[in-house]
Amino acid sequence: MNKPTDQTDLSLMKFGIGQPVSRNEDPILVRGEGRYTDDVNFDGQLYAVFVRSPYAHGVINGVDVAPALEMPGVVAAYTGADLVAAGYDTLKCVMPQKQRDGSAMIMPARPALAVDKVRFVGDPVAFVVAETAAQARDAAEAVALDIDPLPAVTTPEEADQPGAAAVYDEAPDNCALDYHFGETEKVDAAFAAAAHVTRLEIANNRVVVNPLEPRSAVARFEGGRYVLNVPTQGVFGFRNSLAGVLKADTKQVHVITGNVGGSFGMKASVFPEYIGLLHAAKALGKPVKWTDQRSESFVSDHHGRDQNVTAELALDAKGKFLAVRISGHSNMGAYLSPVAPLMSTLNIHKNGIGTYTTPLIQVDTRCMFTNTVPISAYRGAGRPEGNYFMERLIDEAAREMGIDPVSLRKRNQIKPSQMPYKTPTDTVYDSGDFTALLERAVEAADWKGFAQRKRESRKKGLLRGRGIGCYLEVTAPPMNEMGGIRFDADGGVTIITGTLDYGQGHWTPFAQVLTTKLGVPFDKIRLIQGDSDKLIAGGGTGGSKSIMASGAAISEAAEKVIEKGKVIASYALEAGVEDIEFAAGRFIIAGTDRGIGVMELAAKLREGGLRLPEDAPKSLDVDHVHRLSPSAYPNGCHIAEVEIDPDTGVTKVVSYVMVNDFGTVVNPLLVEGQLHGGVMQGIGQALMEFTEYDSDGQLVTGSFMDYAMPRADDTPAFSFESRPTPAKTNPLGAKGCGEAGCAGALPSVMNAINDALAEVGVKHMNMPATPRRVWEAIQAAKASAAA
Amino acid sequence: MYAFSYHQPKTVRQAASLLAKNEDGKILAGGQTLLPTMKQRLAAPPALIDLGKVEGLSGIELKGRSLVIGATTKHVQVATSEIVKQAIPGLAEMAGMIGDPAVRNRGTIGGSVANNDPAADYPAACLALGATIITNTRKIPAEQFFTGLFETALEPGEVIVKISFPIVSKAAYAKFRNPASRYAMVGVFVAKRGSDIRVAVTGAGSNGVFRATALEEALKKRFSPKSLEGVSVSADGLNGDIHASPEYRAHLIGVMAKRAVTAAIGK
Repeated sequence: MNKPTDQTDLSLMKFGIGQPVSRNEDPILVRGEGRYTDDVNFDGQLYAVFVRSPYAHGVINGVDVAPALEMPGVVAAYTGADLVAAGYDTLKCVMPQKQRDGSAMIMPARPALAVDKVRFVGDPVAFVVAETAAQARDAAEAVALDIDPLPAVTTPEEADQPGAAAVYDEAPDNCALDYHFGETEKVDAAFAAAAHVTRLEIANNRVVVNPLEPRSAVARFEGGRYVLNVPTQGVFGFRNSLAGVLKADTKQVHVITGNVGGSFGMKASVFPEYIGLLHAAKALGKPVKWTDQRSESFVSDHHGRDQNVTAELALDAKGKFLAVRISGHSNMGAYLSPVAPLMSTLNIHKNGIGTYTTPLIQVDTRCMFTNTVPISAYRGAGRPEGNYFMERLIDEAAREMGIDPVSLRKRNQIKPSQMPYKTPTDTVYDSGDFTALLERAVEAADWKGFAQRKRESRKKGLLRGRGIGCYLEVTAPPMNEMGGIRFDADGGVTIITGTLDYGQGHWTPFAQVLTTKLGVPFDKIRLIQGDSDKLIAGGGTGGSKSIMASGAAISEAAEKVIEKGKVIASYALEAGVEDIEFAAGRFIIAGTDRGIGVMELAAKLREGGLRLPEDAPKSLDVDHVHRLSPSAYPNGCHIAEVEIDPDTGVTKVVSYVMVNDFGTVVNPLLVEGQLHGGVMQGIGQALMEFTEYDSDGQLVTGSFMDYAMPRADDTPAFSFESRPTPAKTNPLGAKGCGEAGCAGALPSVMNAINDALAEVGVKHMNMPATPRRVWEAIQAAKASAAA
Repeated sequence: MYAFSYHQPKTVRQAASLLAKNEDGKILAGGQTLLPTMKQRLAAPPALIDLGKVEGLSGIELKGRSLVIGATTKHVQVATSEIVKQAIPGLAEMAGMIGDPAVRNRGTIGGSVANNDPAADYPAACLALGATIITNTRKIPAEQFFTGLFETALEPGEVIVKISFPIVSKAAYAKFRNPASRYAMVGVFVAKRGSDIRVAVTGAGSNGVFRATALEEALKKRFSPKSLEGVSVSADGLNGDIHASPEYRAHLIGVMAKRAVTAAIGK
């Protein structure tokens, strides 16, 4: 029987959960009508330019700003001493981990401007404020630095050598954290009993984040409050961190974020520049603006990744995984970013387990200070790396043991019947059918037809390889998130969230959730996300969690609207509240066709057309806080095929198939877009991106002349499929997709490259597989075969 | 960018005299190298002499057995010119490989040649094709023009007016791009005019563009990629950097030369 279709049903077919609605932001952003921080200007604003250390390591004898103050248009100049005198707190690491022995990790204080020592090239030591940006730039060059250079260390292994230059007195061996997780004795026993052990030295190359929009900030001090326009990943937590450094009450701090042109984890941090700008704005009584230059971003933005491990997998004779052990070094850079050790410690074992039943996992990481740009979260923040280490081990084990890599994975994958599954790293998977995804990906990638394609590649003189990346990510840990709903005077409906869109496009899927839950028209819905004064909570965006956190917060807030609405509707409809039902956007008296739409009810409330008793709610507006949205476990299987030209070492990703389980997909169009971007970032790290310092600690890859970014012509044709098993940990059943592309791409692409290169005798190709490194690996393999 | 004075001469003579008068002044043609360098404060010429309003510097024509291209002719014009495609198709293709569309729509042949960036494409074409660089005062064979990294035979006050390419029977360019900048990490231009075979290499030499004589000799026997098999290029005098060692560059010269010869034969 066909049920009659009403307007609401039609609207849900177009704008409800699951529909590929194009992004509300797009018409605004593609016309250049977005409002990024650099678009924000105030009358009488001044401009700041920072003076940065040209040395990787050195003792500051003096910073003389007097010559700068003589320059035209210069209003003020500040040094570290000025900020110390103002009494601000230092910048903090907020996710410390415990040392092996249970003691606290070493967390040296970072003043916003360096005071006693400089510790990396780019370390800010002073800034100049002038009437124009050009004047400030000229004057910044006039600041005289008296710095005695010290020897520098740039790699974590080098920093761990006896006699290496110490970045901090309080960490004479440069080790911030000697991290350990796992039951060593049991792991040792598993390795001792193993029929086969696969061992790989795996590099996780340092990357420069390079968002399209450089960082920018405009600081004001108004009405006794610090006000900062700045790109962030969520203004609520950012405001609290900023207030902490400023030693101000959170009520005295207002953070506003407009459009953000990419962040990938980086812009979540309170950076030193912001403290300086707010200090100057307060001291000068005028707005102070700063916008990074691209060449400056290479040393002023946090970098990502940078870890080198020995990865080992113990297997029994049938290929059953017995234990995995990851040990090595990670680079913290010169200062601890807010999340500094997280990526190379906790998130490695949480995500290294992946989709497998491996009963034991051990992670040992020495987190080292070096004279390099601080390291922070970068798309996945340890999740892609954990998966990458494991998936490389599996492919290598399969090759060494002569087992088909698909069968080896299937043998060890957690089955749906085992859910909920408790892993050895304190996570409990609620759902997922990992083997079904693997099987579907194998089919979609035409695994069986590979031999024929390989022959065709060979005819062209090219090596061809294929690689699997099965991934499972543990999304961000539980946090509170706000879901506010306002029925506005102009008939619109505003959602207020503490998550923040820095390119993802939250407005559209959040509106889809609200239109589905509450039946309000999609095109009436707005989103407020970037104003800390409007928020009562907010975990921000990060760790692929926004759709779970905000989705849950909006769903629950919608329930509250309905509860309030029923009471109000009972007066509007002159019926008992217990007789009011809500469906498809309407409050109805049960068993009748009498009812009132939610928008109509809101209009009546606005127009004062309802006489309500004292104790009845007076509006439908809701301020809701969703408590501790738990992690979800997005997973999938990506299969890449590559062609390598052995004459030049050039690698091309020629086929890329992904089958993903993101639970309930609110907007498949946006999810696929997230995957395209994530995979390309993964391909960037796998094929071309790397960061090199010379022995003095100068950044060699300090511009796009030397630092390679993936471009449109590096992009393969994608095949994208969703095979969702809804999550049981949040009301929408969503699993989060933001970082998954990287998690699938690193292993699938590198496994494909290693598959292709195995043919010419290359044992293990590390990232990045640049033409030079691939060619050199082939030459080395040839030479060793000839020897 | 630092402050500078800006001049807009109407004739080559005015341009030359402004250049002579302004010590350390720079000619501005397409500005695709100069302006970014100035923006980054890596260059600070006190004066810019813009050739944009000088008449008669832009254009492509055939003169007898030569293709003559005006100094301010943009890369996109060379790449799309029917005259160039007919006369020396390999040159049109090379111009179409420079930079990106924005660069090709601003950058000029004269600017590229005068700048002599060791990773630029035109110097290889000029050298392989046996071009003559015609200035306001004289004619300079390409062989004598490119003298080192960003160094040319141009005297102070000398302005490139046009470049003349003798028409060859076969020519092609093969470029291996630097993965980051996409400039030539190794670019090889091969040209055959009768028995005269030239192989010019850009991007690789520590002293800028040069002729790979070993490859030229091998190709004289027979103009075929097969002739290059087993011919090794020495790594001596080649650049080494994070993207390519001298050995890798030497190897790539051989590979790109083969590809250029294959392409030239196919035209």
